[in-house]
Amino acid sequence: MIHPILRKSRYLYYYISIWALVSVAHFFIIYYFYDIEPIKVVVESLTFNVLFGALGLSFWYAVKFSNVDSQPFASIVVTHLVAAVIAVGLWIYVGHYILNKVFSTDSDYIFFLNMTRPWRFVSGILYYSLTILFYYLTINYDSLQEKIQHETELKSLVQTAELNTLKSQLNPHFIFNSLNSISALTLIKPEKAQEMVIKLSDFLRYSLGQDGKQKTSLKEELKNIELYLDIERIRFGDRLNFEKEVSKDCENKFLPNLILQPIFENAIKHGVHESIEGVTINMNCICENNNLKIKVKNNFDPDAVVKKGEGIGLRNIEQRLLLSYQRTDLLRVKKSKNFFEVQLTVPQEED
Amino acid sequence: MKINTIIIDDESLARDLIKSFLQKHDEITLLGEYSNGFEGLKAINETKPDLVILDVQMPKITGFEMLELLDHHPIIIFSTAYNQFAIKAFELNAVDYLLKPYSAERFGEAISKAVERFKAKEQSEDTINNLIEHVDEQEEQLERVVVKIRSKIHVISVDNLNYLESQDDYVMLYTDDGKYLKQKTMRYFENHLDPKQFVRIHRSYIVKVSEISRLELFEKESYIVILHDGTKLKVSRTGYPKLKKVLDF
Repeated sequence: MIHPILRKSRYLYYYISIWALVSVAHFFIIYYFYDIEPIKVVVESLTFNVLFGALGLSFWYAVKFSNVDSQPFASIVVTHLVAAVIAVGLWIYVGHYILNKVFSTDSDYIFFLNMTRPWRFVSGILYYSLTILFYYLTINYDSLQEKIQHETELKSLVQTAELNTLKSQLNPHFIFNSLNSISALTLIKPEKAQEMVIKLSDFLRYSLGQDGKQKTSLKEELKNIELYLDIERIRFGDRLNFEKEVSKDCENKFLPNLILQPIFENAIKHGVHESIEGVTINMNCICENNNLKIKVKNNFDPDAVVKKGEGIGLRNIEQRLLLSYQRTDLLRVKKSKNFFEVQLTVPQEED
Repeated sequence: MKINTIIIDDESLARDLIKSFLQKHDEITLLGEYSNGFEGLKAINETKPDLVILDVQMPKITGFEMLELLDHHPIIIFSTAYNQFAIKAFELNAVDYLLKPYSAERFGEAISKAVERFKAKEQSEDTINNLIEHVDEQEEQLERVVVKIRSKIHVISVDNLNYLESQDDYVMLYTDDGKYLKQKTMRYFENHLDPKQFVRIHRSYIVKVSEISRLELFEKESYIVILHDGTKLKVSRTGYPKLKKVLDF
């Protein structure tokens, strides 16, 4: 712990100013109640208060080594009582010594000085108490600040961890099925196989390389989605169609990375996987009122009996949006007889 | 020796790969390839192949659900990217379980096993049926039930079941849309339906708790439940405490 007053020169000026005020008060009280020449009162006030101000700086060490949390209360009281008696005793002794020297010929003043000694002792104890009280308050304030800072750091750490777990996890079956398609292509259409290996690699590079950051541009996300759909189209052929309408000005807008992939994965899982007929995924992006609005719609076989365990991907997206934007109204899902639609609103930061 | 074979997989490339692997195996005659469980089921029952190379995850019904509905039991090689079904597949007496992607050699091993099994095919189909029952003991909770009525296949979500009634070797499933006969035991359903939702109230009945409208005293110490649609079902002496526990009264 650094000395709370000496840690910044500004704080030392404040401290000196306070003692200057005390000195002024001291002057007026003595001058008003006792019949002593002003010049003598000035010397006295300065002597005692400068001395105590200097001495007060050292009280910090008594405070620092008698920690309220780690030591019994009684021992702290004893420490401070001893420290106070020594400090105040020293203060009065030195003060008297100086003033005795300066005003050695003025017997009236010396008499006054000796008469008021008990009161100086009382005021010294009071000054001591106020000073250590101030030190204890600074310690408390400091540790409170530290705690708050620690807590915020912890909170943001937890939030990042949460966001990372919510980020879409690559579905291993997608990878193995794609590898199986590649295995088939190497025998049947080798030139197509190479194309698919490259697409799968690009897709994996993007999906696995997004650890550090949370946001990306729509353009990047779209590139990744197209790769994903290209790969799935090699597997499913005509069963998967994709249409998109993206207005040009949206491309540079930002959104949480990898947030679209689970939406398309869902569309494929519940649309394409469960239907014998073709499924069309339609994507529409517009920007309005400083929001990026993305709609993804797919048809599905109304006769397919939906298996449970669905909606985890969408719930994760909802959680991510909540953590990133503190809003719960950003994801909307509409399900009709044979259409499934996901609407995503991504607020953009003000320019 | 000719082993009549069909392929059932919803991805055409996956089928193409199997076909190309099969070219090296003269003992295999390919009868056809199908892209979903419905078509596959129809083909198996019509052409009665000796061997089926089967994917698990397919539109409409899964490979496993399809197997439940077969009248004729061919040798099965599973070909899937999902490793979690392997134990179930072997318990269903599948001859091999290929994890996509697999090599031509690995595929060859599976075919060799199938050939061996084909040669020893004297083993009665009863053992296979027994195995199917055996698997049922450790299966996970049911989400849907597939039923074949004549040539039509119905996929019934468990959410639509109201109650089940035992009918000798079969179980009648009652839903809002009608009733379906399924060749399974009451014990099978008792073990595989969510115990928080379904209660075996009687030797002959399993009822969905949310369908119960009220419980009435029928005779001395004998109760009946009355469902929302008015159906009355007897509650046995052992069924009553189970119902009491689930309904928490």
